[in-house]
Amino acid sequence: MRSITSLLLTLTIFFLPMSSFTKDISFIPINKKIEINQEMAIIDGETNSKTIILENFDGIHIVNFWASWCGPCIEEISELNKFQQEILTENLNVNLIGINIFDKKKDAIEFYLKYKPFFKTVFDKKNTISVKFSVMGVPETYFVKDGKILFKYMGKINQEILRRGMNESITY
Amino acid sequence: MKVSLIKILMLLLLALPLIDSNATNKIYDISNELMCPVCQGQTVAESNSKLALSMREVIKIKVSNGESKKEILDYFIGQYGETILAKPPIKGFSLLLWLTPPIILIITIIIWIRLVKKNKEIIK
Repeated sequence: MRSITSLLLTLTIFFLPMSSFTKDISFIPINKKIEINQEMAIIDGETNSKTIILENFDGIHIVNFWASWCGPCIEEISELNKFQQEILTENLNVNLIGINIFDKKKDAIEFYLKYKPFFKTVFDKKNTISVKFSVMGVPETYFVKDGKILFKYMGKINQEILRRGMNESITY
Repeated sequence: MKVSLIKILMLLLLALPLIDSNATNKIYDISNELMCPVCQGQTVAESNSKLALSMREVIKIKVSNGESKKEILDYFIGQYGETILAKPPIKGFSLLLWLTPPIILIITIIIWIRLVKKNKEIIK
């Protein structure tokens, strides 16, 4: 009886942290304030598109970094579009932004025209935003709340993970 | 008055490449002290990866803003952690890594000397 109890206790101690770990295994915690205030060119299919100042993010922002040459970025675009549709239909208090990095503007425009993301997409003119976010590669998706990066997701993202990230950002 | 003004301007123009090369040297110097986070064993100065290009761009802006080398290196440590440094400071785990080989060498020498002494005693 005693040995069974100790075995059960050992198994609980071993599997309990694993179960909570696997739940959020894909999110990498960051917890860091970010100062953005950077000029970005809007990607709207025009070569001489308008520029905007990407200010510090208030509220919840989901920032997706992508490049035209990146295969997983092409694969995830439909998922991001579906999530943007969810934001619009459910009137969710969250902003989805795509930032093109490590790329040429010409290629970013071609990508935009071909895959038609319908969330706000911008081009990093100065080629420095990736360092501000400590991006390691593309695609990467950052969950930002009131100017603070909470966590990031590396690799191809989908609608379900976006939803989970948004919910966790709300309760953070 | 006009002539001296022209002379000053000419001197400034001559000094411009010097200022520029100083900035270039500083950018190279800092880039050489930072590891490219997505490359294998390459510094930011050596790498041509897209991230290294962005990092060099940030260094260039910070140098032109008059930030010191320490300030710039501290900024990158804040962004990517201490592993970004090509020469990490000798403390904590890094200190242990530095100290382990000489300690092992000293212990080996001591064991070897003792064994030799023991063998000599046995022979005697």
